[in-house]
Amino acid sequence: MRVIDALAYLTIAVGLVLAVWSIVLFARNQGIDDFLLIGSVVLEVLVVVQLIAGVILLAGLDRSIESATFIGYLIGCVVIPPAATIWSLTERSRYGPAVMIAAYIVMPVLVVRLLQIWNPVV
Amino acid sequence: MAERTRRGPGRLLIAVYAIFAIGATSRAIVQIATKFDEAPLAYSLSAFAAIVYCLATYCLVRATPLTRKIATVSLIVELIGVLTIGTLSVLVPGDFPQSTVWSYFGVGYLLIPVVLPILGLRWLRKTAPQQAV
Repeated sequence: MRVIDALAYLTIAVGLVLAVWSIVLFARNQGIDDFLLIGSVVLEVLVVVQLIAGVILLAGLDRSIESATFIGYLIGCVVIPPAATIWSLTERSRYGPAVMIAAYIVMPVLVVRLLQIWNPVV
Repeated sequence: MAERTRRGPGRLLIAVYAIFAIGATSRAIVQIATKFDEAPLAYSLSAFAAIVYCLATYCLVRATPLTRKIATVSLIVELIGVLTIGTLSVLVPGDFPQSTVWSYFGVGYLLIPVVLPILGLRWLRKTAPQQAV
């Protein structure tokens, strides 16, 4: 498996783990905990690397793909963890994790779309 | 009152609206920029939906008495929009390719486009200022 694919799958996995943990916190009526915050930082590092790798690979690509959409999703991934964290950090209730549920379901979807754009099924 | 709108479930509501606002706007821009003539009606409505989502998000975040009123109108327009376009896309599918946010009642987005304005309107009603007795 290429490194870029492995990175994508890792990002999806981490995102889904955080989403599931957020569901657990919400179900338990708890607020955001350190696991979510640290996990968000980890995820952010992954998607920043993904953005850099994606741009470099796109620059060297010899076939044409939906570049604008591709870059849009790369940027979208980078924006989501900080935006979700800032938006939910001051919410002490279970709706802090609720925001994270939404964010960390959307994020893996974006990464899947990135993979689809990169490897279009002809 | 602004804080009541923005706290608790309101935070999730606003987050989902923001996601839809960004998604719908990007989608509309790409559709109109690259293939407008394929389905001008559908993609124009896509742009309209994007505007409604952005407006709703902004008004919910600000949550002043005025923006709450605007948000209420926006959400009603949004609900009418998704129900109308959902119905039309079923009856006249040729004019509505799958990929617009309100096509087929937003089935491509897990029907969230239908549920969202309903929950939003309920939330606005719930966080309305209590009338003085």
